[in-house]
Amino acid sequence: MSSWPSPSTPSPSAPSPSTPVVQTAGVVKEYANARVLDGIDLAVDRGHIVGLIGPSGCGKTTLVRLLTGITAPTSGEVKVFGSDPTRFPASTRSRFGYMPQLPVLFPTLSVWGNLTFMSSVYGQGLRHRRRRLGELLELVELNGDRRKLLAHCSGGMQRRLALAAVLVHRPELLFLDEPTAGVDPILRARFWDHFRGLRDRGATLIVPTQYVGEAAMCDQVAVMSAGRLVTVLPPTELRRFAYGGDVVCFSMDEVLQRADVQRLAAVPGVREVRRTDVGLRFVVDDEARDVVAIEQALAGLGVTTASVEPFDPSYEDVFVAIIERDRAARGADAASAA
Amino acid sequence: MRTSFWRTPLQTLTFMRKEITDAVHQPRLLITLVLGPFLIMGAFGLGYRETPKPLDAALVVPEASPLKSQIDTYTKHLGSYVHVVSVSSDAADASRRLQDGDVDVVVSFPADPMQDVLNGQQSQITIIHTRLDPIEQTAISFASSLGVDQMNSAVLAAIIGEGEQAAAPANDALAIADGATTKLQAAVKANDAAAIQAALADLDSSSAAIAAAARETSVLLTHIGTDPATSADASQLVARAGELAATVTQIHQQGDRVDAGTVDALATSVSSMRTQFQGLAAISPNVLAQPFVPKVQLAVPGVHRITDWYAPAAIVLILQQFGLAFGALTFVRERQLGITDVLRVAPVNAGPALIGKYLAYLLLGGAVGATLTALVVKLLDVPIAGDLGSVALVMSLTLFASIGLGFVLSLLCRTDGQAVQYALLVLLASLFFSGFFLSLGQLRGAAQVIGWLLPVTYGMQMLRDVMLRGAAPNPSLVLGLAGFGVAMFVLALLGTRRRMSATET
Repeated sequence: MSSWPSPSTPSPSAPSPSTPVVQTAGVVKEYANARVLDGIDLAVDRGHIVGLIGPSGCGKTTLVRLLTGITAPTSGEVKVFGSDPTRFPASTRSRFGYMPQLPVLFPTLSVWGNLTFMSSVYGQGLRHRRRRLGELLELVELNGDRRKLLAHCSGGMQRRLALAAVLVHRPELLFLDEPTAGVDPILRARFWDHFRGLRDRGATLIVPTQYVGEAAMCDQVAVMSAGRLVTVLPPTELRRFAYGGDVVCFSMDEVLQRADVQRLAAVPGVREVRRTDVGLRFVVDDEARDVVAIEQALAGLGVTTASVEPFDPSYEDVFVAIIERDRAARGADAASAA
Repeated sequence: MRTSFWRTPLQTLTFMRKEITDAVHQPRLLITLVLGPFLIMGAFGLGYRETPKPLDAALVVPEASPLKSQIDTYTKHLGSYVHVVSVSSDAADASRRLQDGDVDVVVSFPADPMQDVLNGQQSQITIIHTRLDPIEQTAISFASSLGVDQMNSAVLAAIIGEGEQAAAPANDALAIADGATTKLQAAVKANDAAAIQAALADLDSSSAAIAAAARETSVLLTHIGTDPATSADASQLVARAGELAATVTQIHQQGDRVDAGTVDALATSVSSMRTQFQGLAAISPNVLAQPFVPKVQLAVPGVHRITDWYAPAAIVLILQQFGLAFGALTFVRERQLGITDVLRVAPVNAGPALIGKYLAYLLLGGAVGATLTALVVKLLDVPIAGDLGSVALVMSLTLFASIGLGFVLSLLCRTDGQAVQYALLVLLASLFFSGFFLSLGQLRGAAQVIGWLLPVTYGMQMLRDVMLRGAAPNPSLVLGLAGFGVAMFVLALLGTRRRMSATET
């Protein structure tokens, strides 16, 4: 594996490690009276990978454009490196990299030509450029295609080149809008290894993605829905957030009566009980503590438990659950407001 | 930091290199830009008629018209303008042939021109055509006027010929006067009173005839509007005829003592009048009818053909459109590709991006201009009378101004389709307002202002002066074009800075 190019050393003017690299407060963005972002409060610490996950049109890309300074908020405050990104001087702009959602390089330039262009735009000297660009091409597996015109490259190749281009100047902060779209699973895994490598060297990455499974690769996952930030959590806590607690599945040979299920729902620590094909699924406050109580309750009912397993839904299921919960909550809010 | 010091020149060069690479990867475009105009100019030069094609004409002459018998004489004068396809008295048939496109014009002669003239009116020759092109209409009108002038001249020459015939009796009277003077000199010498009286009698009758002929000739020449020298001669002739009569009267009054000196003076006067009359009668009627002919000379050395005139204009026009199209498309394409967003967040300012593009298009456009110029000079024999430095200056300034105009247009466009439309509009305006086809002098004030808003107007005048006249570029035009270019550069810089730096709201 090639060595991952490390981010540049944080500049002396950078905020202290305790200060979030990215911070937003009550950010609202409206286009033609349509509210695209609605009160976003987000803080991202240095050396973290934050995944932005949400359905299409939920405002992920708009949020990234606000953070890069391409667009300004209608109201609220955005701080990146402690400053308003719309007023970044050139020196601050060279500290971050932005990879847009669609591949945006020059189709009439070669793979190598595009990389040297971006390298020059970021003012990189000619001396070490060749070696560095070679490393990047090695990373994105385009070394053999360096003479190929971008117009003749596949969509996936263009995506990989765009990623190499954004890394060319060793940014401290990276905004990677769906960096692995169109990339095969093996290379995608390699990319994430490298993203984590960057993170370990102190870089901060904000990664909007449609691949919900990639949430597991992030340190924090910000779930967005309809322009709102639903939650920001480590991936391990998303499941608990989605279902309102720990989820445990009990398999049993017999089918319980409705009254028995209601008795089980009244066990302390149990929030919800649902029937499954093979038994019951419990949402509990604390899996370690409450499983014992449920087992005792079942024994009291004369029911033998075949197995007890923690529920391990996919991130897609978790994501769907969170979004559905959010939509339901907003629906209820709207109803009560009406 | 070292990187910061080199960043701006590095960025400028990389934008320049990117644009050149971009263009080099489109070889067909570059070849078309060079070969296209050259082939068009070559085809134009080969296909252009130095003399206009004569108009195919159907002549309609009424049967009763006295012009019928002389139509061949009249039409031979129109040879270079008109090719007579048919002569008939059938006006309807001629009109049908005109509508069918068999002939270009129908020329209808009057049935009774003499009656019109006797009524104090000019007799009308009607020329009918179906051409809608204003330039062709002007040409037909011009050719018609020339043709009718030729016919009028022929009539006038005939009248003058008749006038000269009328002067013949004066010659006879002068011959008699000359003989009588000789006899008078001999009679005075011999002191022969009878002979003196006989000679004086001859002089009396002949001097009256001479005076009458002189007056008629003078009146005739005055009315037909002959040249000033001939008119002066005629007036002098009348005066001399009066003097002749007075001298004869004076000799009568001397009675028997006629002064020999007076008689000698009389002889000299008669002799010179005779010479003068013969001179007047000997002038060709055609010369008298058309005493002036134009002789047009070009004060610029060398043989100049139509391609010589249009080649510099075409080169400048191509350079303008080159700069305009590349300038107009570059930012629009970057915006459409989304690269503008990437550049917005990058540490690059408008200056390096814009200057890099300027340099690239100046180099590419310069190469196109140089190649095109070499081709027209070598293969179409278009001259370069001036120095190559001036040619390079004009081309560079034209490109500089045109690229700037393109950049400014690109700031107004959202799609490359719009940019192309703007470029085409500028091309159309250039054809009408720059002096490409019509000279600027033919345009009124407001239209001339439009012309001066186009780089091609300045470049065209200067390149024509340099290549064809060998003159240095007009300093006013150089300053005008440079000022135009600088104004466009400033506008483009401000616009690009706004586009690259400003945040969307």
